[in-house]
Amino acid sequence: MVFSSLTFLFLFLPPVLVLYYLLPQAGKNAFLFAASLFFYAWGEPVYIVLMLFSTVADYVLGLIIEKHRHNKQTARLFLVLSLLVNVGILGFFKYFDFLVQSINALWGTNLAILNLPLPLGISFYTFQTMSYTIDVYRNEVPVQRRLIDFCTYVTLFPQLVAGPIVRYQEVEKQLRQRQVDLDTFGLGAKRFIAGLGKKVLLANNIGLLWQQVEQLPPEGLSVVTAWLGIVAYALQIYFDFSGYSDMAIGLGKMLGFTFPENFDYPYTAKSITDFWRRWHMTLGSWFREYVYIPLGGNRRGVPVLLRNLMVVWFLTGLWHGASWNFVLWGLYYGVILAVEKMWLLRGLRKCTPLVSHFYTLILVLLGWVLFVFPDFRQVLQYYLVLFGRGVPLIDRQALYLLSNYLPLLVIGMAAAMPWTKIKIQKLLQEKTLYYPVAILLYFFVLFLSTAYLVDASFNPFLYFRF
Amino acid sequence: MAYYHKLISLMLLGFLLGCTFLFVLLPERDFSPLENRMLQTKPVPAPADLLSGNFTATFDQYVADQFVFRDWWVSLKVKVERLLQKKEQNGVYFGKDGYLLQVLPQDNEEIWAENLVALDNFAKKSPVPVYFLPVPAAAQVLPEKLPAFAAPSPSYLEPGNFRSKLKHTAGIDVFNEFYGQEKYYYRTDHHWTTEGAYAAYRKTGEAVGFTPVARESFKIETVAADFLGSLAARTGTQPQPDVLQLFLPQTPLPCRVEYVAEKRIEASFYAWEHIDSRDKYAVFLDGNHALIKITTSVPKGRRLLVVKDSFANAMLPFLAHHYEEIYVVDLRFFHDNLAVFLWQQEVDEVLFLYGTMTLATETVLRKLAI
Repeated sequence: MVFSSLTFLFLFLPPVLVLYYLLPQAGKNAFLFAASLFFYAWGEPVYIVLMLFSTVADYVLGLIIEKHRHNKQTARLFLVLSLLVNVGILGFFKYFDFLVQSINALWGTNLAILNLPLPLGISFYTFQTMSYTIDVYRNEVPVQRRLIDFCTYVTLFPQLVAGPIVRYQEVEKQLRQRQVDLDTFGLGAKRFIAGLGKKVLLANNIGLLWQQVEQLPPEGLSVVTAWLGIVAYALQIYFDFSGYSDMAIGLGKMLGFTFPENFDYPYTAKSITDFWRRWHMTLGSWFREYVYIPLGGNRRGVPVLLRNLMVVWFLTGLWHGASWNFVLWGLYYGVILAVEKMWLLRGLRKCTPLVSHFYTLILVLLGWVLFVFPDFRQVLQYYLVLFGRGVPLIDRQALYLLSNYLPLLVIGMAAAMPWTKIKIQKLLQEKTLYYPVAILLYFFVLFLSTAYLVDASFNPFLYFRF
Repeated sequence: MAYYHKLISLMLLGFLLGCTFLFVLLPERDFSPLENRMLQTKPVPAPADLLSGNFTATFDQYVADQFVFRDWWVSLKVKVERLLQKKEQNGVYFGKDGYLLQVLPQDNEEIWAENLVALDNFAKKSPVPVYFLPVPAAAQVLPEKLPAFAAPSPSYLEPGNFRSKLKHTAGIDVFNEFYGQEKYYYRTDHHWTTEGAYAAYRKTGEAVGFTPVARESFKIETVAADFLGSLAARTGTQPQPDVLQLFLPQTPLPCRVEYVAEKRIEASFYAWEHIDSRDKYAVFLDGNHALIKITTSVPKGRRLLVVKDSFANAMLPFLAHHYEEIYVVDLRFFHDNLAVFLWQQEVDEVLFLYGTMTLATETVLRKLAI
């Protein structure tokens, strides 16, 4: 199930919330676990077995690591086993075909691929369970003896399929004790509605613009069309992903959990280093915590630092999908971050915000081109169009798209900036109108989102014939 | 504001639960008059569907289709889209002066060409003359009604294209005649008006060699002034309705209309019951059928085969003045061999009559090769 569906909003969520609030403390986790399994099974009935296997394996391995804590070597052995299980599952289901295809391409072999569908949320829950066994091994978090609580942590439906990547130590205490009341619920409700609006009203609709540009042959584009397209994609992916994170955080709050933040207005960043502190923050901190720092981080000299950056960004790229363009996209950022760390960062801090902001946005937009096209030739073609090679600056198509999407793009860009929010908030607080206006605004967004969801299925004339 | 968050909580819960209760309580609808389509009703899961995930997709559709006040939500969305300056919805332009026009497919030249090749091959083998009348889509001949900067008609849909492609088929070109003629098209439906069909009928007379019945011999009667056509339904909008007129001969033409597969015989070209329904264009020959046989008392004894989509329906009552028998075939539902059929019925000429949109989006004529 996805949050932005009528089935989730109106048939799954209301009964789950009501029952959750009615149940006594002792039953809440078991109920959440059951509800989460149903949530998962709605889209992926078969792979539920895989998720449960991974969960139980890490639960057991955690206990074994704890038991052999005095014997470092044995504990280490079981940690390695846990990592092998998780990375093995992820590797097999997500990367096996990619590996085979790469080998085939490299050596001209003809090995068969499996064509398995990717299990929902696998990239997220394997990273979460790994954070548990590693932290238990490092003695940073007490072992979890209650199986139900551990299962609740892994399968918790708000963050199950698309993050944020919640490290076990971040919610360990909340699994036993959390505040569940109407005030916290209200905070969560606001966040959820904001995320729903981002996803349904902004991401889905701005995405239509990118979809139109993507379908055109590159030689038929104009410079303006190409920039419009990639800006639309940048806004779409931001609102899609951050909207989903907002919904997850909001739902978590409604259930009494506090999840880590995942986005912090990334398009206001003034360097790529800054951008990655604001974009998909939980993934960044996972790699920093479990890969970059264990490898020595930046404290062992420049060559090691460079190696570490490349390893982390190779993996970050690969994590986004089993395809070389994602690896390339990751390495692209690895190189830029290295350059910034060595030379650029100091200069960027000194120059006017306009320049550093422009620099960052251009690099991020060019990065999205790498991210979105699986075929490198398409990437090159798109770059050539962006920089005006052999195409007109503007054409009828660009004007038509602009006339259709300009208002939405302006709304989208404004919504990606924090100042709109801050200014409006200040203005209203002074006039004591803030609360009634805010409530109206949230319900406006909720209503519109519902309308857009109802009409998403709007595909009339099934029996319509000419 | 101590109550602020409590208030938001209660409002969200109230809204969700309220909609859920109404969803469960209100009766299901089978049909949406606004969208003119059947709605998904509650699906019953089969065990295999549950595992494959097919059931959940159908179920999601069911929830959306049966959602409380669906029509209200749909209209709300369209209003917001218009406010945001969106110029099209579901493949339909919001044109100028209240015109709704189908968006022309820019990249479908292959489908179009395949249809034309199939047609010309058929004509090559045909023992009798084959005529081809493509009916331009409104967007092709009323470009001034398109929204600003909308893509012009693609060149493959222009008359020069079919003229050069067809070697054995006599093309009937109405494009010049139709250019800028607002009265030939409905604003809310993708079809031509009876006026448009009459103009094309005159052109057909020139090409085939009969003398068309003069306009004065008809009495033009308005049978509906509240016609909201297919494009209104497709956009979910309620624009100003169209007027549907019929050209009824001053001296009635006795006819016998046989719906062959349905084994039904009528004495009129018009299925009047559709005047009161949403799909008013179906008043012409009761919509689309695999095979219709029209017999009149025209003494000349000529026979015509019309292979067509729904555009022909409005023109057939005119053609009937010149043929003793007309066979009307809709290839989407007709499954016999057309060449054999043509020979068996001993027709004198064949007319292919299609909207350009049909030939650019469906490979309907592929069946001719079988």
